[in-house]
Amino acid sequence: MRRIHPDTALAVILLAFAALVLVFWLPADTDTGLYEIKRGKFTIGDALAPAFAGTVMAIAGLLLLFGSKARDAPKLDTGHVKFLSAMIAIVLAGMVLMRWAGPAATMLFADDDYRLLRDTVPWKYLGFSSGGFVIVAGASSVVEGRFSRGAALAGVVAVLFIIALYDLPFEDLLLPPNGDV
Amino acid sequence: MTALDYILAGVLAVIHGPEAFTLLGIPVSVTVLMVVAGFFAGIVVGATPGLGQVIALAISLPILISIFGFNASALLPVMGFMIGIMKGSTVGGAVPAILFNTPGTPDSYMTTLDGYPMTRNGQAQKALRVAHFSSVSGDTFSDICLFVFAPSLAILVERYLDLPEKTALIILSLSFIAVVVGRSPAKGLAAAALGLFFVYVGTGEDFHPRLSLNAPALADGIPITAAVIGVLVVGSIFSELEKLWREKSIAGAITPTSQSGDGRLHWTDIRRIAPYIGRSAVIGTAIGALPGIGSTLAATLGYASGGAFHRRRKAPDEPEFGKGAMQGIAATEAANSSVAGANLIPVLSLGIPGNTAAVFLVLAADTIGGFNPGPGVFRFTSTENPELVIAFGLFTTMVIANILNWTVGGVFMRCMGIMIRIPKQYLLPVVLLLTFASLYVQQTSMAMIGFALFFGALGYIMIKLGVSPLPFVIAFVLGRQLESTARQAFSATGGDPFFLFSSWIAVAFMAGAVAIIVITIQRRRAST
Repeated sequence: MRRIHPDTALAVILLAFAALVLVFWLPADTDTGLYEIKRGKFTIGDALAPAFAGTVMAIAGLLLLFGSKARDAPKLDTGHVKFLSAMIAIVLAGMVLMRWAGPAATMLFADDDYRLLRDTVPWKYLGFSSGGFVIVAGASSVVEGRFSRGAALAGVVAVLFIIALYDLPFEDLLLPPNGDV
Repeated sequence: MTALDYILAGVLAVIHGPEAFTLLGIPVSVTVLMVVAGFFAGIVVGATPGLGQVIALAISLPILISIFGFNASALLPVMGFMIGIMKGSTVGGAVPAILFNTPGTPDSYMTTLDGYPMTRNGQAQKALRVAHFSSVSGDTFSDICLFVFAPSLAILVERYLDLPEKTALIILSLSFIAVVVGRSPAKGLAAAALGLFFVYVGTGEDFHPRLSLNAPALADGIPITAAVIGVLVVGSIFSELEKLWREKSIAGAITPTSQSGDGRLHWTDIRRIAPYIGRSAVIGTAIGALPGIGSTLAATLGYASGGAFHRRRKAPDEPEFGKGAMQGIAATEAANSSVAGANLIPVLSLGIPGNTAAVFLVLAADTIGGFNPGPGVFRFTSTENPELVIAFGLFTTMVIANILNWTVGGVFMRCMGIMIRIPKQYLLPVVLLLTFASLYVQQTSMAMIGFALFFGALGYIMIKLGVSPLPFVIAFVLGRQLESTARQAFSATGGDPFFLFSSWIAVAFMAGAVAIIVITIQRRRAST
């Protein structure tokens, strides 16, 4: 089967996205059109700027589609997709831990709600420490292909360093997730 | 106030600002202290592969704002620190290129061609000294050009450009950046279009936040710092980590680097490299003054120009370019460093950021308030124009950073070889977490991390597809300004739909915007 050139694939994606924006999304999700009349005067509507962006996107897609194609054009392979998926999964896992580790721990082991304890050691560090550790140690482990002592140490040092950088010297700065809860 | 009064007021705002401490009876202002701190931090991050000035600026901005707050007195310390980082990282970037054949940034790639062979010949110290001298010379030259040309260009802009012309100028800058940066003009245009599209999500003048899909997280628009840092920093970190992951998968191990070499820079060496520095400084400054072209092209052109000159002038016993010629290092470093100061010309005179470092200066000014980079800054009014005082204060911080660069920069730069010893597979994830934490403390919302992850993934995909993230970032930063200027111009011309063609200057800008796209595409097609 003939392989599609990476630039052609990118061009098709750009054209499809531009069409989606211009034909469906923009008309459905803006209150005014390209222009409107206010008190008898013409003014620019909210749809004009995104329509301009969509048009430029479509032009870029057409230029890519009909332009000259380099043989060594960069392309995404399965390795890129696998690696990016792993990174996204690790960061999302870290975010979930950041958001919920503290409230879960207080529900199990404390008498008060997390909201009342979010400025109290050790509760206020639980979410950031666990989530931050997972992000740093997880990313290092993916790169190394195994969980190592170095990765664990990097996770611990990173968490302690950032707490020392932001939380200890500044009273009004909040580490994740203490501004959300 | 006269021009001289403004210059003096700017210098005094830096030197006699709020006092940090007293040294031998002499008060040291907070701004001076921040420039010094930023400068040394810049050398450290520049010398550390995988870091660099963009990451350093991204991380330091929220910390600085949390320290100094959101008032006008914070501008000079915060921006002074950022200028220190820009200056420091410019010289620091040559360290890994010369010692370890690892370009810290794309524009120091050419430095590896002659720097690393010199290291292998035992002349690492000499190569570092050549890089430092050339870099600082180029940087100082471009700063002088900035001081001279930015105010005059701004005055010209203010005199001749009205709202339609300013709208057309932004369109010209965007098209210029989109097609000139990177290898493919079409991909650059696509990146700029994506940047424009995302900045318009959730914004607008109507009650209903446009393109928000009724999602509360999108209703207030996408935070500019999360998008910019996501695409530039998180995307780059993912890309670097992926390279290490592949290296480990293919070779079975991640290769550590080692250091060797010694040497001094003599007067005869300076005389030999001076013509190369001069040529490259002019090339770099000219390129830097154009928005978005960047230091990589300057380094390449400087190296190519120096190489042609070297072939005509070299002594028989001197090595050729690419085989350990110190003139090669001088040509590259002078060119890429002279872009730094000149890149601020479009920022301060037009309000258009020309590179990513300038984007962060605009972000700082925008976040703190009280200073709007653009032609309005350089109004020499009889009553004090505080923005003009800040501008001359910024020039003063640049002079201080240059003095540091000439005096202690080289010594500190040569000490930085030690940073390479931290394995990148541990360092980069730490930087990733630090980036997320820095974003969070700005707006205390997990959505910031979510946005940064989304735009980080987008930035990673762009890098892997050969799409430069810079047009995306510049378009994102300029998108709202483009729309608001166009709205004002439309109203001011009485609803004229052809307001972009209402004067010969606007017509010229629009014709230039189309011409630059057509010409670049034709040239790239001819070269492939």
